[in-house]
Amino acid sequence: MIQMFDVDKQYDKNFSALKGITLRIRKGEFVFFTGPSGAGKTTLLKLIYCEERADQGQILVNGRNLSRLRNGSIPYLRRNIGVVFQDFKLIRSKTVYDNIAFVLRVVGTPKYEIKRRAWDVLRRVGLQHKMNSYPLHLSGGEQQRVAVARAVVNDPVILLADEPTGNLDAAVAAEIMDLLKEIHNRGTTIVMATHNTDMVERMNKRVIRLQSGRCISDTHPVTEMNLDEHEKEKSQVHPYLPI
Amino acid sequence: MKGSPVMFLADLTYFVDEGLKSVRRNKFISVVAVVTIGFALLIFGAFLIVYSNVNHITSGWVQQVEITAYIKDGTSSGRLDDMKKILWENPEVSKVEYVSKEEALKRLQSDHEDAVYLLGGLDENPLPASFEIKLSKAAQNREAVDHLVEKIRNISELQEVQYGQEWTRGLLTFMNILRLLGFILGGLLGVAIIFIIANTVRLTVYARRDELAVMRLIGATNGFIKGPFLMEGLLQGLLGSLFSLLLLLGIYYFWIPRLRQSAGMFFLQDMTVSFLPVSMILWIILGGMFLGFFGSLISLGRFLKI
Repeated sequence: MIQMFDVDKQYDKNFSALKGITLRIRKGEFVFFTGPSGAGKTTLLKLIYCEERADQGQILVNGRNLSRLRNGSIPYLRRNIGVVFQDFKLIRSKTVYDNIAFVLRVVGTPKYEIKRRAWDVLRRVGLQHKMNSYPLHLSGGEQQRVAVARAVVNDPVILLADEPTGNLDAAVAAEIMDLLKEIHNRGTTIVMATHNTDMVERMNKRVIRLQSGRCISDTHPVTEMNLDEHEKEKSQVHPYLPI
Repeated sequence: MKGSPVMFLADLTYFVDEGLKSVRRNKFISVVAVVTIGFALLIFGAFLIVYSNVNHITSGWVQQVEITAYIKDGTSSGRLDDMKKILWENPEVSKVEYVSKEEALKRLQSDHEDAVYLLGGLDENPLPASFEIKLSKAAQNREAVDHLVEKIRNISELQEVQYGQEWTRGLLTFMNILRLLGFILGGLLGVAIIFIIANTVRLTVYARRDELAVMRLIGATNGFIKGPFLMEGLLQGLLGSLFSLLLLLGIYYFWIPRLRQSAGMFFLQDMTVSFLPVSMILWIILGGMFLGFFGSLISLGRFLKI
């Protein structure tokens, strides 16, 4: 689903945001990017949805080679990727319903279909009763649920989340994580950047640790079925697997 | 579905809807823009009224310009027919009338009835026969008139060719200068309007930059993002041009009759001043819309890049 090979990214000459990143995320995986602030987690996510371009190396997302992707094709790549942010990034002048309907509008969904799908996704995140409220009238947790609903209303194959629980208290954060788990169970690949190590441990998922723009470890969840594989992969720092 | 006419129509409705919403949301800025555009176009429209009226009057004058070709005495009637034919062959000529010596004298006498005694002493008719030549509409410019006169002068039986040389030339030069002024004025005002719209749209884009970031994030194409802003510029241009036409009509109906009554404007008293012709009204409206669209486009070019 997502593959990177020897990816470099520099924001200026003296500062390397990412260096020699090689990784492979399979379809249906739930992966955490962790590490301290400035480790390169957000940059890594930005490279996946083409907000930033890699200076070097190759990135494949959902079968597209991003280094060869023309600017005009970026919107079409993004329609298959949902993104959730720490600060929600909802449009304040639109109601909850309009925020979600807008995504469907952009990709040319017919009107009757927009209504049905927006309602459906709001029900999934438990906010159907707030559909006519404006984002600023909602609590942080509710706003983030709207943001998640917006990210998944198009049934993207990949969901990227950049510190989605960073602004929320523990209980509300747990609700959001439950929501993400549910989305993952439906088959969506989820990549989430966070520095909340407690939560990462509780989730028991694959964790890619970053430090100063480098990948320092890649650990898979321990289950009975993949215990052997897990031991094998632990020894590999860069588990690059060719297609 | 994407790219189909239904989709295009749905997008267009969305653009118009969003454009209108944006104008309503930023009422103050929009009103300022529309009023400024209205005044800019008013200046241009007023110029067009002056120009179209002057043009109407002077084209009447040019039409009255006749070329008179005097014929040498003793030219045979067969040769006269030949000459008439040669004159007719010129595309610039719309009418040729032969005035005999007798006819010329008669005209002179009827023009000066109170001085007929002066002509009574004449033994013979001193007036030459002539051709009076009228020009076709297409030939009412300096080059065509000069060209025709040059050709007529080559006919040997003619002793003199007269036409209102100096003042026609002056008139035509004046009209050319007026037209040039119109182009310069129109150009300058056009640039000003583009600038106004570009700035208004830039303010709206800036105010909505978060929304634009979200649009890009969820996979909206550049065209889809730009659409509402282009529509906003177009709407402001349209409203501005309609406002200017309203102002012009106001001036036309309230000021011109008052001007006519004031003593200083005696020359307006016998003149009918007409409003802009429909074609020019349409041009002002279309021009306003185009300038709005274009102004918006150049301000978006700098703001939106993926």
